[in-house]
Amino acid sequence: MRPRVAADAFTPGKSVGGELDRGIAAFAAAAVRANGIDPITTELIRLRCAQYHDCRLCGSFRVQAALDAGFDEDMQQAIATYETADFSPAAKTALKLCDAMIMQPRAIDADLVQEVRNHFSDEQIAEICVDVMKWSQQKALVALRIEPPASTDHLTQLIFDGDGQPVFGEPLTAS
Amino acid sequence: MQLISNQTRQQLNALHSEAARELAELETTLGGCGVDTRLLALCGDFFDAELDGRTWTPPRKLTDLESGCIELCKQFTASVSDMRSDQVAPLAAKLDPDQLYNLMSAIYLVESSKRLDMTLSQVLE
Repeated sequence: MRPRVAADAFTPGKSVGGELDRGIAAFAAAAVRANGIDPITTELIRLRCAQYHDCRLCGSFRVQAALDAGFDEDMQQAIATYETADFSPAAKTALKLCDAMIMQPRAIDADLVQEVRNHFSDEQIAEICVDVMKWSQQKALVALRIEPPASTDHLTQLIFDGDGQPVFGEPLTAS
Repeated sequence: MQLISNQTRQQLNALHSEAARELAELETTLGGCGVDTRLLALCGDFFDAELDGRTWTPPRKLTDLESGCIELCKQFTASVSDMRSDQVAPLAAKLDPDQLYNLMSAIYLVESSKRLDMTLSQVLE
């Protein structure tokens, strides 16, 4: 898939790494630093966003904290059909909320609201929704097709430092 | 430029203060990073209508840039994964790569903020 703008066409500090980019990165880091949602549910939400928006970059990573908590490729494969997957009821509800937000927020009905409130506190609901907004930042890159995967040969480890900044880590399994 | 409603701002201040602070900073940044805020406001009006399920009517005759931007916004909000090169080309023809990148980032912010607003207003007590 060809980029719609050449990577070397951007001026560092003016667009990529510029004031707006840095502000979005700061928001993203704030989203990542919140830890009221378990790592597996967070990873399911992240990969659901990647799947829906077709972000090749996001799809090529696996967050190490989720792997440490037991996330595996069977779970990744099941995201597309999560309603019948062997995920916890809370994780499925989080994914329903994610879908509602990224697809059609006006379609949120009383049943979903009650389901969300049954599983999550207001703080957790805010965290899920902010996470969905953060993981949708790649929409801008996807629109320009400047989100190539970290590698086409293997998955890549993704770690976040104490400030919530991403660190690309080691190769994982063959993708 | 206001990204979220006052109600959502208050809720986020209480529930996710760090994200609230960064969104407030971004509202200031958007006003001074070179992105055309009138163009963004037009996009915001379009997203409001689209997410509400209403038909959007242009407020006046649109410039070529504005028309191109709205056409891009239609695809951006419907399904960015199906964006075609011919939907980006009208903007790429009028903006340099840095301007295009910043505009796309700003469109993401405006659109996603409205989704955040709509979702939280319905789900939070």
